[in-house]
Amino acid sequence: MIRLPKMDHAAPSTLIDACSLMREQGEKARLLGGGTDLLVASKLRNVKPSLVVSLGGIPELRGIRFDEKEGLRIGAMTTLNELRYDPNVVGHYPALAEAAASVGTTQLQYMGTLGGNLCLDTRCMYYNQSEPWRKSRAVCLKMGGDVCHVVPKAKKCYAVFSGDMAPALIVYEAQVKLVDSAGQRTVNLKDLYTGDGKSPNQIKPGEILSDVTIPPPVEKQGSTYLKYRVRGSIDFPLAGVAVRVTLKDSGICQDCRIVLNAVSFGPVPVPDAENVLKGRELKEDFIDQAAEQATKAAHPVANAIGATPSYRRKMIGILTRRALMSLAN
Amino acid sequence: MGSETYSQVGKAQPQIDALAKATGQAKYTADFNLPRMLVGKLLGSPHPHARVLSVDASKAIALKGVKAVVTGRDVLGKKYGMFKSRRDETGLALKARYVGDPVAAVAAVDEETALEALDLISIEYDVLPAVFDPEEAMKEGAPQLHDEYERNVVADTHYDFGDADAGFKESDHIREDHFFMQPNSHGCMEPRGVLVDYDITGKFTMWTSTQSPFHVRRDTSRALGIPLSKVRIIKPHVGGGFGGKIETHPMHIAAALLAMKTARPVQIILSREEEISITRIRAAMQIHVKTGVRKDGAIMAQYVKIIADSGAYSSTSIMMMYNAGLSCMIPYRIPNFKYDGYQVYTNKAVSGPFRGHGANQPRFAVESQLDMIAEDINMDPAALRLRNASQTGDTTISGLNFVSCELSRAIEESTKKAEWDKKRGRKETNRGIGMACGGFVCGARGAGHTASGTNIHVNEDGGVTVLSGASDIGQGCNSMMAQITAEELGIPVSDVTVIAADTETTPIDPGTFSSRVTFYSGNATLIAARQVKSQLAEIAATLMEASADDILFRDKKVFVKGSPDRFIPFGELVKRAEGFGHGRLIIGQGQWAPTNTQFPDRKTKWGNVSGSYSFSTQIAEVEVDRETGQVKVLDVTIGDDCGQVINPMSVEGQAEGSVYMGIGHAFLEQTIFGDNGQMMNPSFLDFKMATPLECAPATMVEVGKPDPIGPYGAKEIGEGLLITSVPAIVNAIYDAVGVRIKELPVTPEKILDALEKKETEGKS
Repeated sequence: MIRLPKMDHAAPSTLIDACSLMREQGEKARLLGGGTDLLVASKLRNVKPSLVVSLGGIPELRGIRFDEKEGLRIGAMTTLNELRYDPNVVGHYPALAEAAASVGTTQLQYMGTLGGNLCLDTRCMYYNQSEPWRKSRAVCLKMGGDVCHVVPKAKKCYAVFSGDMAPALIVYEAQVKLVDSAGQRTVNLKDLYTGDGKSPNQIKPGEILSDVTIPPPVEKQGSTYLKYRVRGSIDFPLAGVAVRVTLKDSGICQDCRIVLNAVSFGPVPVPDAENVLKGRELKEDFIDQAAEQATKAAHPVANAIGATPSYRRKMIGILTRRALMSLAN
Repeated sequence: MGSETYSQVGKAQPQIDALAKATGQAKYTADFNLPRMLVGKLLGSPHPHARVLSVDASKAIALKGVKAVVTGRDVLGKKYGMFKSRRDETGLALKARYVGDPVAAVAAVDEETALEALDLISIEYDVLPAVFDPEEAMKEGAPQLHDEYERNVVADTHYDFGDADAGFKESDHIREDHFFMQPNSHGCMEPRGVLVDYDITGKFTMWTSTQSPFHVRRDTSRALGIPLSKVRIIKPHVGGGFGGKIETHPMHIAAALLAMKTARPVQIILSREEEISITRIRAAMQIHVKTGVRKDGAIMAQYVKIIADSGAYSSTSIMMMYNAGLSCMIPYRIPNFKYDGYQVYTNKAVSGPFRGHGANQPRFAVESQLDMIAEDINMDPAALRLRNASQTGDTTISGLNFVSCELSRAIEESTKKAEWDKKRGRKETNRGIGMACGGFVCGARGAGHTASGTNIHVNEDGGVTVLSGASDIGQGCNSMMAQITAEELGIPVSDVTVIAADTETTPIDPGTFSSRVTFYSGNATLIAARQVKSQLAEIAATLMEASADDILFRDKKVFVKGSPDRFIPFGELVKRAEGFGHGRLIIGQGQWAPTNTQFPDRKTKWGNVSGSYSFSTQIAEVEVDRETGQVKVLDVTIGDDCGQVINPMSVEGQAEGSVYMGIGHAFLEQTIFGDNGQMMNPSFLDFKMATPLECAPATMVEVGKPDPIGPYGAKEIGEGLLITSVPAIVNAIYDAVGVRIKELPVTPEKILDALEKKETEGKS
């Protein structure tokens, strides 16, 4: 068993208190949601916070609120298990419930939070290792060094983003609210991610992701989230696809969103695949073309145990196809 | 499997420690604490091959709470190991031979301090060239790991029985194929650990997670240069071994040294990362098989060549390479057999015994090839196996003698149960069914002492204490011995207490390996229990004025045969026995080793290593997704000749465990090594064992008959069944979609590649 390093723990009861603590402590402090990512990283000494600020005692960060006119608002500290079984989520935004149900294991879904999953750190088989293990190699970009063990000569870190909730939320045009002691800003979730494996999201030190909002559901809308991982439980995704399709009465695809997971630094929207389908009937040949576009947009690298990049890419095509076929039916 | 003549044997019952384990009361090595105990930690080499030039531990020693640091210079350099001719470990290395090889250890007041101290030890290394591939390592000029072994070949074993060349000449069809079986970790739930107490008389007492306390005692005494009798090993509950915990680990030596140096108890518990990467793994093997058959399917000759990856140390190399070849001759009649086995050092984690001990790899290869041959000669794979199946009374060309063998029945009954004929060859469904057969020793005769012993004491209230040197590592041998004792004395299992194992108080025992425990310790217990019974029967006969031969023990009562009303309660008999005559104790002592074995001749290798052999057939049904290459195992049917079953619940557990582990080995489990020989996946996240979602239901059909040698006719099931799990699955995949995977693990990608290749070939 690896133990946690020594660190202080604070449990503010309001968002304002949490914000001011984060402002005072700066980068030494880390936010603690369910702990399923941060505590593991702390044990492995990937991160060494001197203070963790627990958000568990802040009531305003919890809960799911649905309004037919305003849509869905989810507090960042809502657990994945709550999302998985919430009747409004299951009824109006099924891809979200499916994504939550696919994270890690049931135990992790009880602990893991939506905010934590969106802020999930990127992963790499050379990075997610213990401190003694990493001593056998030069310090990598992600750990603050200047080499990449996956992509030689890389100037930026290729660690992969594997949060299942982000792609599922992006297909619904979700927005997130970021709060700090100076104020707040709202960002489209798809713009939250930076495209750099080292610092995968643009949340500034001191900022807290407090809310996720999703527009109201539209008529004749279908959505799903499919993922590939080695085992039926526990494992992180090696490929994932979230899809939302809106149909006209005629059965023609009015709108469509396709977002890939676990093949890049962040979620990967695939407008080329969406454009194939827009204005067309959801038929097999168009679906195949869309799947081909999705495959083209996926560029995984050899940073994960369990499957080669080429197989992960192949699975992106298959999952996209299967997701669209299931919505077509 | 049950029997009217037995009260306990053949009756399913939970293990005697099931409640303690389920409630968390069972104590494992990590649960023990002693006053003033220190925490020890190992420091591993960051280099795959490097000489330790100097160690500066001054900063570590200066850290508050650090009590001692030991390095390779503190050990005597006396080599230890399971086999005298292949001893190559010293405890802490002066020359590190793989990433993680322990070179130093620290003892501190708590774990945090110990970990901090590790960071403060500065070691200067002379980094040496390293080699990671066994075939590269065998080449002239390759970096040499151990001076004594040129070209890194630590074991080379050869058999030449009959005349293989002549056999191939007489064959109508010959196939040669090449296979690879991957390395993997045992995946024990309990990472190993040790607690050492060193007392004022110079005696070491060690509580440790082991499969063989007596072996750890031997090595510790050797490595530290102290008399054997100054080391006491106590085995608490052990959370799994699967072969990995037979041997002594550097932690044993390091903890003992630290305890001696500090005069305080020292505990070392390995982390999961250490448990996977610096203990033992299963050897990766390249397997070349050439088999010749006649038109009617009769095997005429077989040649097997194996190159096994030893990793940095020898471990049980000579035994593993011996068993790899030997096991090829168990399930089928092979008139001519030739074998070349090589085990080769590389700068990677150490290979060692693993449930099946070298039999799994060739079994996978041979059983795969038999299916290919069956297709070539247009014969049903089950019929091909039946045509060659070993029979009761057979003596193999190498001298193995099968006093009981129900393999044919296993094939017939399991194919019937699995609806073999109906389910084969339905490629359009993407479902397939495949089989494999195997056989295994019930304890191979080693060169040293082989027997197991049991002492039984009867307490004055009728409770019975069994003392045994056998190591229960979760497989349930304590329950087995309790059940045998209860059977003989006509008492409930709950009245039996089993103490095992403690090198000072229990009889000497080789350990838990080679599927020997039920066979050996079961028989020893039977002898001891029958001694107790006859001592009590004589007294009961006098008290009840009957003949001792007519005294029966059942339902906690001692009867006169034919007179159910004439009895003495068991406890009362014991009490009266103690005061009887001269007031003697009721004690039974049994020791047993088979007398029908013959240690193989050094030159010819002819001999019979085991008193009996188990035989198994396993049939797997799978479904393949042609688009993704993913495979689901739907169902498994098992026909296992493990003789008379003593506890059906334990046997089912072994069967389910074999299926579960087999699925892991077929598809998921693999230790992966980076370009510097470092293990890339030393965690349960990345070393992927099957979860319940990947498992398949298993059905057993009854095929065994009581064996003439085993206790009540029991034989082994712990290892012999696992070796057939993987080939059955691989053969089923071929039946489903027509692709043959020869390199394990089977991954979806390999299936897709093979399907694609097949399609291209079909078109051209």
